[in-house]
Amino acid sequence: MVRTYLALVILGLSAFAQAANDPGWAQLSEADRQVLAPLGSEWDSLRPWQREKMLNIAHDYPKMTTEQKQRVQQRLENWSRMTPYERENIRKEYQQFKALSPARQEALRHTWQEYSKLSESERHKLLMDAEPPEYDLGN
Amino acid sequence: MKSHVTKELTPQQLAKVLQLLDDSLKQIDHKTLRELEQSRKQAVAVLENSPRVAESQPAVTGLRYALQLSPHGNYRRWVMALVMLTVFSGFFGSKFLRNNGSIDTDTLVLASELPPEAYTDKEFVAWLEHTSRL
Repeated sequence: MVRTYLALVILGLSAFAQAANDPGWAQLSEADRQVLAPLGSEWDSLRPWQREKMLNIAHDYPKMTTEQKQRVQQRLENWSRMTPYERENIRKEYQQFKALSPARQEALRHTWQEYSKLSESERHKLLMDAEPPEYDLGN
Repeated sequence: MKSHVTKELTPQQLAKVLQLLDDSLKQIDHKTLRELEQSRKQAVAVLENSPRVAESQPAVTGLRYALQLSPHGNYRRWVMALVMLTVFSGFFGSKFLRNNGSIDTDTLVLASELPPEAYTDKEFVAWLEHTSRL
């Protein structure tokens, strides 16, 4: 009897802890739901570790400027659809970007803005015209 | 009745009881002797069914074994405390990491002026090479 009670208590606590760490859309706070609104329709199908990452972003949200908040809202949906491999690559690239000098960072941002103005066909032409990489085959 | 029988005496208390019993043994009448005999049988029966006797039984493993070890439930309390500690440390640990003031890398990437797509866009890399050649 005591063991059954003990097992039920443990199961209950485990379920509580899991629900607290991996909440469904309905269990999120109003503030979190507002931030994560772009993911509302697919939230319940996200994996627990994806939800945790997104919740981290939501909890950081109040610390951001208005511009940063807008960027996060615009990029959140696309970000959640990337593969873990893609996201990890981007994190590494971001760290390299942050290691650049402020002047070089600014130059890259400017180049991106210029590039963003190009049409789809112009971008594709750039890729086609780019010189193929040289491979060292050891000859 | 059960609580009186199963209560453990210290060696000193037991020796004193034995001494008193020995001293007054000759003064006990026949009726009292029979009552004492019956009480002893009841006490032995209770002890035979106690968890301490079950302790020696084999084929009890894992968590169940740990829960049965102590007649006073000390191990049960320890096991329960350990499980609760594990569950709550997982919960509050992640809460603490979330609220420790540092901003998550993903947040920084998303809030950055350079969007995440810029790092993976091959055409943008080609554009960078193109502009660097100009």
